[in-house]
Amino acid sequence: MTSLKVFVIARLLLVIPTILLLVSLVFFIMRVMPGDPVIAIVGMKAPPERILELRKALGLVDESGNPIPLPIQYFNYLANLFRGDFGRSLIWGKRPVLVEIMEHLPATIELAMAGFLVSIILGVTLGTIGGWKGGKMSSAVKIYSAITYALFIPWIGMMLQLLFAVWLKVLPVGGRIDPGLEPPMITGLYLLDSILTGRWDSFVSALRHIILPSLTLGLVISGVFSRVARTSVEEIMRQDFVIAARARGIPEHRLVVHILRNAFIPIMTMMGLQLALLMTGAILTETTFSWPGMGTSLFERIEYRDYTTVQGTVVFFAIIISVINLVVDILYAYIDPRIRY
Amino acid sequence: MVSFELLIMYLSINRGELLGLVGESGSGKSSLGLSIVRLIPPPGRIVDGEITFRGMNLLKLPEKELRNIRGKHIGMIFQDPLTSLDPLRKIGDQLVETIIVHTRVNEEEAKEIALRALERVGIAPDRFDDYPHQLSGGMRQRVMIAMATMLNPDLLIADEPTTALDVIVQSRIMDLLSDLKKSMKMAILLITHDLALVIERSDRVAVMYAGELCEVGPSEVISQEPLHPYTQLLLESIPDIEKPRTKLVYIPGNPPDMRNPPTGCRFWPRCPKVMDVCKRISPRSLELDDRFVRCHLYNGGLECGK
Repeated sequence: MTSLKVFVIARLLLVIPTILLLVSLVFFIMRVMPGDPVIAIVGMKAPPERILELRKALGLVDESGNPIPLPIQYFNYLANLFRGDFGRSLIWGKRPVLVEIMEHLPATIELAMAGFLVSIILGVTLGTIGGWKGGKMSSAVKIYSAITYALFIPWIGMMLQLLFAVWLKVLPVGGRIDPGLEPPMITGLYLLDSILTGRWDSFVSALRHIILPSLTLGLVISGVFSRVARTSVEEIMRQDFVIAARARGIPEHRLVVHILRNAFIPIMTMMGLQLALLMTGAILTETTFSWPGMGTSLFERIEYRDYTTVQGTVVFFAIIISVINLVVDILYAYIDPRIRY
Repeated sequence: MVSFELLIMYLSINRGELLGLVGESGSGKSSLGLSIVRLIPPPGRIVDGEITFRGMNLLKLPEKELRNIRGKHIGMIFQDPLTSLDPLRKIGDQLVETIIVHTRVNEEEAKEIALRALERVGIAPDRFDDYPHQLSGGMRQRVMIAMATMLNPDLLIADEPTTALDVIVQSRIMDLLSDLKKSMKMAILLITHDLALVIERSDRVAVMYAGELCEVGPSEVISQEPLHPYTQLLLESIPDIEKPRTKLVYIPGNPPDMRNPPTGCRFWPRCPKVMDVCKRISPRSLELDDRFVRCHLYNGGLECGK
């Protein structure tokens, strides 16, 4: 077996304890939070039957109303998760949490991917130019990084809405698509589905809706990428092997490829970290642009104290992020032969 | 803006000759090596002078033509062979790329040349697909040497090629360089701070101090009869393992701050034979048979500088 295969298998196995730790953390945080969640939902004056019903729904008491010990609760929770059972919503008609998540997931993924694409194109391009040219160009990129990184998503989002939607009236203020134009469900990603089914009116509408939110999210995250790309290109260019390659007469256009490949390692680390941040950024962006994704849904559920849905969504986010990190680590090993276990 | 001055009076190297350039850290040896191929990292620059190679002045050559000389006619190896190789690419690919850039051969033929070059430096062909980190320090330096010499350069600039290696490997690498010098009639500029190594291995020695050349001459002559006080002190400070244990001899003081070098001869603050004239006037180089020396002692201590 090659060392790369061993690495991939070892890294896959490592996901199990990571996710276990994450879900345990969520479980215990929910338990140590002050106040009785049931009273918080229904209020002090609720009838005892309603309180008992909610306690059962939360897995706090058994059928006859006796409290379930914490270790058993924990075990039940893990067993349910393992079966893919995230529990049921306490409010919205007691729908399974997983169904709720799956309904909102494609919108978030679509927004996150579009935002990520914008941030990489902007950030990596600007950063590489700044690092390669140096001098004034480098300073300009430095300023760009600092400004974009410091932007507050709702603020820049509203500024873009004001400019493009209110004043220029070229793009919609919010939402995901014009009503009635939703393409048939295949992947749940409107842009992709409308291409797959050839619904061009849907595609244009979805594209017009995603421009401002993805630009907002992309701009803010591109700051980090441009900084990392600039510093790593600058650093690699100072390395001995670049001087050695020049001393061998390797022309500049070939040198760029070598430098970028080396500079790509820290950029990719940042991508992994930013994908996680992208999820939180998506929540702010979604609420600013009324984007019907997991962020908007999570925000609503927190207001209604729908504990099971919140807990399920948080666990789901955690799983997504550990899977992203897994993919990044495997890509790492693929690019950099020095990374192996 | 900080300026570091590097003054080289005159230095030549002949085909099939190993010239050892010695000096303390920061004396400008590496800068000299990099200036030859015009790779001084900015903000450093070459102000004036002439570097003649195969009848061409390298300082006047267009960048494109110079690039053809680098790697093909002038090879270079560096102190740390690990950081001198691209860590993400197989060593074979790095060899092949260099060949393809400089010749009109295809990938297959380039691989042949690369494998032959590796064989010559004692690297097995199955190492072709290895990454730099999979090789030992000595092997990496062999790969660097193979890469620098595979296109039969006329000049090899070896900048501290053995400093990062242990003594046994160091001696093998030096044997390899000596062989290449003889078999390929190559001129080798060996840049090092190790005077003992230079005396033992090179045909001629050039001693540098604070960016200036002090003394140049055949190794045996310099080691037997050093003229410049700096060379004398350097030779005295080489520990002799056959003598009973004595205190380590060293040269008191530190090299000068190059942003503000001393006036006159740059060595005078540390020189045991310092005279008045040394503090005021930079000595002129004096030619004696097959050697050069730059010291007022041999100008009769008179004010005959420029």
